[in-house]
Formats: sequence, C-alpha cells, structure tokens
Amino acid sequence: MTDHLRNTLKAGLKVTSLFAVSLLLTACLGSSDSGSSDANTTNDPPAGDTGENNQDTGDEDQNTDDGDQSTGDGDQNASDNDQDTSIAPELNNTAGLKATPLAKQLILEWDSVAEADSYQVYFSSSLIDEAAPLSAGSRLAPDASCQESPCTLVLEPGELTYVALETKDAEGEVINFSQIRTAAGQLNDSGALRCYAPHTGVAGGFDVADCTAATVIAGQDSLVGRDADNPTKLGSGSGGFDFTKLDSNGHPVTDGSAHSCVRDNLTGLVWEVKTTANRDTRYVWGDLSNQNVTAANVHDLVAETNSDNLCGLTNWRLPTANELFGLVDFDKPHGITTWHGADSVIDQYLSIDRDFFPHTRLLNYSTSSASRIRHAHYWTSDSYLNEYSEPNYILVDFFRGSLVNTYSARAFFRHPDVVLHDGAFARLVSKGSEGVQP
Amino acid sequence: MNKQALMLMIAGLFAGQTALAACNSNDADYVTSSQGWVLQKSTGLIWQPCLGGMSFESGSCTGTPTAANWHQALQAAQSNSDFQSSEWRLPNVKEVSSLLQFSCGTRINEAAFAGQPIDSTLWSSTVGAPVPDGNYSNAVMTVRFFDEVQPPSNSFSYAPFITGQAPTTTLNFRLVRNATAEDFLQLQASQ
Repeated sequence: MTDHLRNTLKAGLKVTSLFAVSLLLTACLGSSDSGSSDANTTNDPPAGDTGENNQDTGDEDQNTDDGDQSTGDGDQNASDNDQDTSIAPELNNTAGLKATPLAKQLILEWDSVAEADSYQVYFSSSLIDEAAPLSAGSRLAPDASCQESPCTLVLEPGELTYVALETKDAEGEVINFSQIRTAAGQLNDSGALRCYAPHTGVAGGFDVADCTAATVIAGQDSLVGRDADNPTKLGSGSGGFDFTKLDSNGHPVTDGSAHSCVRDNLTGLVWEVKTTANRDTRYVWGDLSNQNVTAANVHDLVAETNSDNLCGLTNWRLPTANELFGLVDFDKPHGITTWHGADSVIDQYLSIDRDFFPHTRLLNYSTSSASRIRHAHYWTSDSYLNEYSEPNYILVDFFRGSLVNTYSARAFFRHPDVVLHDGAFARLVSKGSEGVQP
Repeated sequence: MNKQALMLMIAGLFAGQTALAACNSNDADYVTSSQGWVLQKSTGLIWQPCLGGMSFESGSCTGTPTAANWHQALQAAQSNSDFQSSEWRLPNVKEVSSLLQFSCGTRINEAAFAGQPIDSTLWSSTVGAPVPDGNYSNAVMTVRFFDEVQPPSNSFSYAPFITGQAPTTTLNFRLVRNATAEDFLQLQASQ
C-alpha cells in the first residue's frame, strides 16, 4: 500500500467501517445470501418425533409434511442480507463524501468544497471514470435531489454502487472528483441506551448513570455502536433503530393514522403489524392434525397474509431467529430477572418498540406472586433436530429479550400452576418489494 | 442438509465420533484471514478466532479460556491488542447471538472458532434494562452455545439460551471489532 493510499484511507473515507464489508464479499467471495426462505413458501418444521414429554395426544410419529425440510441450517445466517456494504479503498475522496446505508437507498453527505459552484452526483455499478463520468452505464443522480448535501440516492436491493461527486467552480471547471463504493443493509444494534455505573452496596448491581460520568463502566454496549452514534435516519425509532410505518398498501404513513406494516430501514425487512383481531392468536407449526390440535396453524397465517397482499407484498414468511431477534429493544425494561411485576402494568414491559409494534402480546398467568408465569413467545423459522432426532424450535421471547428453544411444534406451554395451552404468537416478515421504493 | 445426511451425522454422534463438521452450517459466512482473525460476512464483524485468554499460534487456539466476571471481560477488551488492533471490544448481545448456528443445537461454527468448548456461555456488553420496580439492574445479557439447552426444570417446556446473569458470574468471552477498509486489503492480498 502506498503512503498516499494509506493516508486516503485514514483521512478521506468518512464512512462507517461496515462499508468495507462487502467489497470483499462481492469482489472476492461472492454473495453471502444464505438462501433464506423463498417468497410464498411456508417454513416447515423438520421431520421427526415432536418430542413432547408429558403432552397427552399420542406419541405416534407425526412426521410433518415436507419432511426433508432443512434442519434449520439454511435459515439462520445472521442477516441474510442481499444488501452489502462496501467501499473501495483505492478511491479518492477528498470531498469527504459519506454515505449512510438505509434499505434500498443511501443518504449522501459531503463536506463543502472550496470555490464550489455546483455539485453533481453520479452512480454506477462499476468504477466511474473521472474524465467521462457518464460513460459505461453510469447514471446521473436525479435532478435536484443531489445538487447539495445531504441528498438521498435510491438503490436497488443489494445493488453495489459507486457513487461519485463532481464539483465544479464558477467557470465550469471540475475542481474535485470524489468517489466511494457502497450499498445498504446491516445488523440492528441492540437498542441499549442507558449507561450503568456500579451500585454502591449491591455486589454486581448497577445504577443508571449519565453516560459521561466518570463512574460509568467503560466498554458497555450503550457507549458503542449505532445506538450511541445518533445516526441519520430515513424514518424514526429510538437509538439506532430506523423504522417507517406503512399503510395496508405499503405506502409510508405520514398522518398518524393506523399502520399495517413496519419497514426496518436498516435491514430492509418489512414486518407485519398485528391487528386487534389477530394479535392474540397463537399458532402451531406444521401438520398436527393427527394430534387433535385445534389451534391455528402458522401455515394458514402465511397463506392468508400473502393472499391478502398485506402492504402490497406477497412474500410473507416466518422470520429467522436472527431477523426477529433484531427487533428486540434492550432499552425497554423487560423481564430478565425474577421480578414479574403487577398485572396491570406488565404488558408495558416488552422489549420491543410498542409505538411501531403496538399489538405485541404477552401471556400472563398470575396464580401467585411467587410463580407468575409470563412470556411473549413468537415463532421463528429456525429449528434443529436434537441428538434424539427430536425437533427443537427456536422462538423469540419479547418479555425476556431472549431466544428460547422448545420441544414441540405446538409450542405448548406447561407449568404446574397453569392450564396447558398450545401455540406461540407469530409475526411475519417480508423482504419487501424488489425494485420498488414504497 | 437433507435428511439422509442428517441421519449420518446423528449416527456419527452416537458412535462417539466427531461429527463437528456437519454442524458447521454457516461455513460460507466466515473467512479466516492469514493473520487469523475471522470475518463474519453477514454482519461485517471481525471476530477473534479464540476465546479470551487463549493464544492463537500456528493456526490454532492454545491455552485455557479466561473465566472472567463482566468487568474483567470489559477490561480485557480495552487492553487487548491482538492482530495489531486496539479496536477490540466486547460484542453486544445481538452480535454474540449472530454466532449461534441452529443446527446441532446452538453450537458455534467449530471450523471458524476451533477451541470453544461445545457448552459455552459468553458475555455480551449489553446490560439488561432495569426492572421496573427497582433503581438498579443486576443482569448482563449472556448467550449460551450448546448441543441442546435444557429447560430450567421439568415444569417448563422451553428453555432460554440468552439470559441475564449477574456481572459477578465468571464466564468466557470472545472479542470483536468492526471491519475496516484495511482488513479488506489484507484479505484481498492473501487470496
């Protein structure tokens, strides 16, 4: 590496390090897409005995349909991102061009260039030639939107793009030509915003403290990452979250009216928002008809949601564990300890943003103060066979901010003090509409 | 993985053989650099190949992982300078959980992260939000990698593998940092 290059790297590229990621992915290794569930398919649990322990309904093998469904190995790559984010380190970027990746688009910002009279942004799937910036398939950014910083550049999902900024002076001479390479999509941050300092007198306890206080524990989550960075957003949300509410046709809701879906602008995923009619429905997974299970089946939810074209989309499916866990907001108080709270307030303590996801539900069995049992279990598409060839299923618990496994496609809930019941809640996800900016 | 392969794998387990490779369902997501650090492509994170306290020598992890309380793990991250980087940090709970592979339980990818015991619970940097009835919290989120996490008692039909634990607990940890442009130059140069 030349010194010049090194200096350019360190001084010029004001992008987050994540931008670097898929230069490698794309240039060297190919796509990282792990092949998540295809549109219009229902995720089936793996075949095998359901491994229900004391459940009553027979131990006959109840191999589910599609018995060759994966054992969970195909679904769980951390982000399934079609969108990769990268920057070519060899590019000149003396204008301080910076891109904040959002789903299907970038927010571009740059430093003001001395003696600049006009700016023009170009983008292309290949390196843009400074001498002839409109050659070789490059495009002008839409008029007006990118004549000044900041501006928004719409990308196709997963489009790796070179972005160039051409600066001209009053005589029309090009006085600066800066270029970066980038795209959209990354892992959600945890949402943790509170900073903690040791609690005097309680071993291992923490008090909430000002994040600038000297006593704050260095290196904790809330001091690091996107949550702490006050990032530029397309939508809104606490910390690093960037959500946009969508109406039933998939258009952004701007007037405060009810919303049907939420687009996560960071991951590009679109989430089902439950309704008062279906928020309490609990689902089983797979064909359990031979067990006299009468609970709703998540297959049917997927089929109905797709046939309804919810938010204009027909590729609804169960989320992977990592996708759904990405919605957990660790800034929200939740039931990670033995405290279980009063019935009247407990449903406020869910580790998800209830402004965007208002119908997230909690099961609450309050038989005694010592054995209050609550959970907010939501299905994911991930599962595996254990060593006894029994399927285990992964659920997200929005009460504890946790991932849990369970032994039954019925997701039955068992406790000595409470009545048995079947099923877990479900919230579907979609990769969104390819190529169309809602 | 098809069912047949799975059965072969399970047969291997019962035969007491190492069927570990079959559990590495996320192989394509990890690239180990010539220096030894591991790029996780789907997240843009660079992971240390070894648990904290182990040494990376000649392509493998040696020594014993440190059992550290949470403060010690955070401090170890602050002072760590492995692979000529001072950017190492304790990962947050979503970063740690992104290493879970839901095949053969929740085990980590043994190809990319050799030397991690099958049953390992790792610290995250994330403190659980304060419980509503008190002014302090005492839980740090931890992630358990294992063949199969058992329910806490016979009373429950489910088992969590991300849990809040007291920071005085002693657990293992794995350090992470964000990928940089220079990392990609290094990876490109070595390929």
